[in-house]
Amino acid sequence: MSRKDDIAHVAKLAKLKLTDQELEDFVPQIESILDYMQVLNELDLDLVDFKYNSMLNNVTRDDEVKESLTQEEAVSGRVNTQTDGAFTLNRVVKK
Amino acid sequence: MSERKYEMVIGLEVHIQQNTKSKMFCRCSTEYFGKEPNTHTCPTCLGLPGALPYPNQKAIDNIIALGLALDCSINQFSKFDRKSYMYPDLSKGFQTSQHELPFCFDGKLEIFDKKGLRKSIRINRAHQEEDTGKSVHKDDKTFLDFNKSGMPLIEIVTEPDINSTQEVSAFAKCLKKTVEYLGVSDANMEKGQMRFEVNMSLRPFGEEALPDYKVEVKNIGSISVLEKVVESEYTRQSQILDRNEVPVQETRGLVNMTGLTQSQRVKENSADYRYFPEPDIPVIITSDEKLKSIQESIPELPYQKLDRYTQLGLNLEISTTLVDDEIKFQAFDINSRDCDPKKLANLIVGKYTQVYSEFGLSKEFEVSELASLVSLQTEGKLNSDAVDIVVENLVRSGGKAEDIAQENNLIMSDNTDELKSIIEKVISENNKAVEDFKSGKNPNAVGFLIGQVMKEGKGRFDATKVRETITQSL
Amino acid sequence: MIDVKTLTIQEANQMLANNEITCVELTQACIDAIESNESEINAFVTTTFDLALEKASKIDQEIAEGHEVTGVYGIPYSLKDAYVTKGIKTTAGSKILENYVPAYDAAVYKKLDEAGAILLGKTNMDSFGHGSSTENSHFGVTCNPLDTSRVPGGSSGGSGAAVAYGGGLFSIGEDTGGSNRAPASFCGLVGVKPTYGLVSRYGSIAYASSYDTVGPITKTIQDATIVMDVIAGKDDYDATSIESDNDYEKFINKEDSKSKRYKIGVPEEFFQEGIDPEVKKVIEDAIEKYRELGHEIIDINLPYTKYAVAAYYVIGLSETSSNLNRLDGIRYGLDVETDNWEEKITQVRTEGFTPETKRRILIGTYTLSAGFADQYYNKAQKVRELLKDQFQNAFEQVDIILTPTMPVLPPVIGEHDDDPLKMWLMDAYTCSINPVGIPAISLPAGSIGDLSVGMQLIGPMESEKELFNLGMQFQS
Repeated sequence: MSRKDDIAHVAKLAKLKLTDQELEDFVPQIESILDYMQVLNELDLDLVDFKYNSMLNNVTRDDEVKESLTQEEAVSGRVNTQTDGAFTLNRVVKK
Repeated sequence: MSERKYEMVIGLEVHIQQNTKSKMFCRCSTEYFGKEPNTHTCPTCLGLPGALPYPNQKAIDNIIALGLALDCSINQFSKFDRKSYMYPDLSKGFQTSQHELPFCFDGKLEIFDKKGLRKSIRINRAHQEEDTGKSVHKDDKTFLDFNKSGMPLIEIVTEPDINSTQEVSAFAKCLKKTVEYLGVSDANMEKGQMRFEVNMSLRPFGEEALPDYKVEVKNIGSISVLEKVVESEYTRQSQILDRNEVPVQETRGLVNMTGLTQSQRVKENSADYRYFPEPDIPVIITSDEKLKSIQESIPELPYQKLDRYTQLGLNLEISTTLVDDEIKFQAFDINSRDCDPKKLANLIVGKYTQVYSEFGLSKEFEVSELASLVSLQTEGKLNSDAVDIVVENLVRSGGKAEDIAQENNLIMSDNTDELKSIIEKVISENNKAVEDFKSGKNPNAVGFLIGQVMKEGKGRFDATKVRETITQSL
Repeated sequence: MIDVKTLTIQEANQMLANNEITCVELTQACIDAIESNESEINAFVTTTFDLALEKASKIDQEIAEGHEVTGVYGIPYSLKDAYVTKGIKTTAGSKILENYVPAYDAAVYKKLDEAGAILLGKTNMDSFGHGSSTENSHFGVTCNPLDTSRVPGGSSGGSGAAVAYGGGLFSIGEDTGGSNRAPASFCGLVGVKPTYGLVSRYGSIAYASSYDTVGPITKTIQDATIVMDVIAGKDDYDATSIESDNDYEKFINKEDSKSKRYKIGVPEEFFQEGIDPEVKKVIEDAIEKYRELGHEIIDINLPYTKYAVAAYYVIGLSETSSNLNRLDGIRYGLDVETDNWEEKITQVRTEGFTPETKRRILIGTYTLSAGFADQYYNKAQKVRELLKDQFQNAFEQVDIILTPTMPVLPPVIGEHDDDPLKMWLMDAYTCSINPVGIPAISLPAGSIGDLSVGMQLIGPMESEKELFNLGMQFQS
């Protein structure tokens, strides 16, 4: 696959629709950035161990309940597309 | 069922909702069932901009307990990962799950059933994740409710070790029992707390290698549907194989509750989940001490109980009946050292179950009284009818078994004088029968007289002794 | 007449305490500054003047009743529009959240609000933090008050510009790869990138979760310590947050601190190709000043600097591609009517994100996707480990590292439109810090004409006190 195909593929994964013109513009830009990132290949990283980036561990909480948002607050971002407190969409699964 | 041509090769993925008080990564209540939509949400589980997760330690302890019960190895260095895909019911556009370092891996579940099945099914892994929201489809609309979003969910993945419908069923039931014993989930299927995904293929009996295809069926919400799916897939796949074709590797969906499936067009790209470590949650390190304390909290497991019961001499039927039901095995386990276990088991699965099913257990009921009751029976102080009466009294209003027996005059009597006076009374009231017997006209009349004496004595006299005494008197 | 353009928090505290001004007068002075500058500068996306004046008059009443004036009490400020504010529109500089009114408050806003600070409004930013110039905002570019033909730096450019012209005495920015330090450098201010986790990120609309930090932009080091004392510390809603003593202001004013001398490391790699010679000169003069003050200057090497920018972008864009998944138009944000959900999500995102954000999402999705993650994401995480080691080694030799904040003077608006990579490389000196988690501050080192040049002080984890102290010595 070409870089253009790869980028079209990730656009689909990311749910972005690119016009042909955008794809034309983006491909060389993204390509130059990805090429730039290849600088990482200069390093021998076989002996470097990575599992997780954090100095903290075991940051957990007790199993206790706190107040939730009200229904009104929860759907406040969708005044027009909610029905009795449920977010409403045109049908997800096609009949 | 006719002889089968192919052997089933089945692996299961099981999702189990935990019964913590709060959700996995936020403090919303988990008591959302039957509530108004979007009343149990917060910025975190609703995926609002800027909100962050904060993991629930209880849920983590739960999955480690389950892992240990499944004989899994535990990743003492574990972490959460993001699994990315966009779907309307997935509020963050990724599910916080575990990819590389699940809490539990490489275990097994001992499965069994009443028919004598016993097998060990290998567990590939058990990891912690979170549930999605709920979509309800009505007409041309979909309604989204995020109350379920962020519920703690354990995913268990088996190896393809399951080879029949009987085994599928036994696996599901034994796993359900195990999580119930541990108290990590209520495993209520009607509430969607336990869901199955089947990966299934067929191969000729005797073949060892895995078939080169598998069919996935998702979203199975009950054990009976699970059994039906496996049966209907057997039929479908075997027909294809009979034509010397190979079933298509695909995901199929349930058509309805009969277990019929249909192909679901799999969306392209859907498999690229782009896992990476969840940067918002530091790693979870489980110390040796912590592991030990969780290990110590694990109760006797279903298969261990079963083995213990059969070693006590209980038959498989009664043993599994006890293992299946907490009220029954608790009653048994509390009392089994203090009385005859077989009689105890019979009492529990018999009259005891009948009474509590009908009337419930009274608050005053002391379960340890069952041992006293069985002992009274074993010592010959109560006959079986009397035992039934005492059990009913105990369960419905409490008290001591012996007191109830006394108060109701149920204790077997060896008082010969009392017996003789009852016999005299019966003889005097049944002249005709006495005559028939004495004249030899009806030798069986003595049976009638014995019956009358037993009835008058409320069954408290030993039948042999009654026969002897009445024969003498006549 | 209150000159809010130069007034510090510290001075305002005294004036309020001595009844030289009222809180309403102070707040009104800031509002006046905003009203007279905004048409030219465009630092704010949303203003909250009514709420501000209401709170100011309440605070005047409290002061009259004897309330102590300390910290940020009664101090007008602005908040980068990346922080959610309940009931107040929060856009993250984007179209997709153009009309979004959050249902909850960011932790930092809550702390400041409870401490008596007065919110004037939400400041402009590169959409979702994606930029170093504040040119990538749905709400137009913000101009640099020192020279309006130039960018103010970014992504917290609105915050920098607002503080520079007096639209509030401080601002809370957000620093993922230099977003506080760049505007501080370009606008002649102090910008703080605290230790990762020192200030709660709860309610901060994420760019890259493992880099994002919350910190102030102020006129002086002293003011920065005053704000940090209010906002730092462990939060029960951010699992990556850490404990803090919150005695920054006290520390830098101790006699012991004032006489404390440091080993200052100067990394060769930050003075080589790409640096503007004029900028270099200003920084060298600043180093000379420190030497004269009695600090030990030590040349050091940070050999992985070359790889830091690439690693920074790979991880940062991977994370941002995931963080922005929640913006699907289903529960909030831009809404469109379509036949089915997939079209809806796609259309909302396609219309709602700027080209720069789309570019970053595409790259981040690419670097995480099957077949490429090993080559990019996993490799970059390993390089990150090397970067940590590198700084750890450096801090065995020296106490604090001094570098230019930005290698160049603020670019003219539009200068880098056709070359995103060049714009990205402008961040080289700041963005290598965030993957390591260590703190860094930018403070003015000197000026070239009307323009300011910032220097960056970098220390080990949780060394903010020492950074502030060394910075304070420069400003005294």
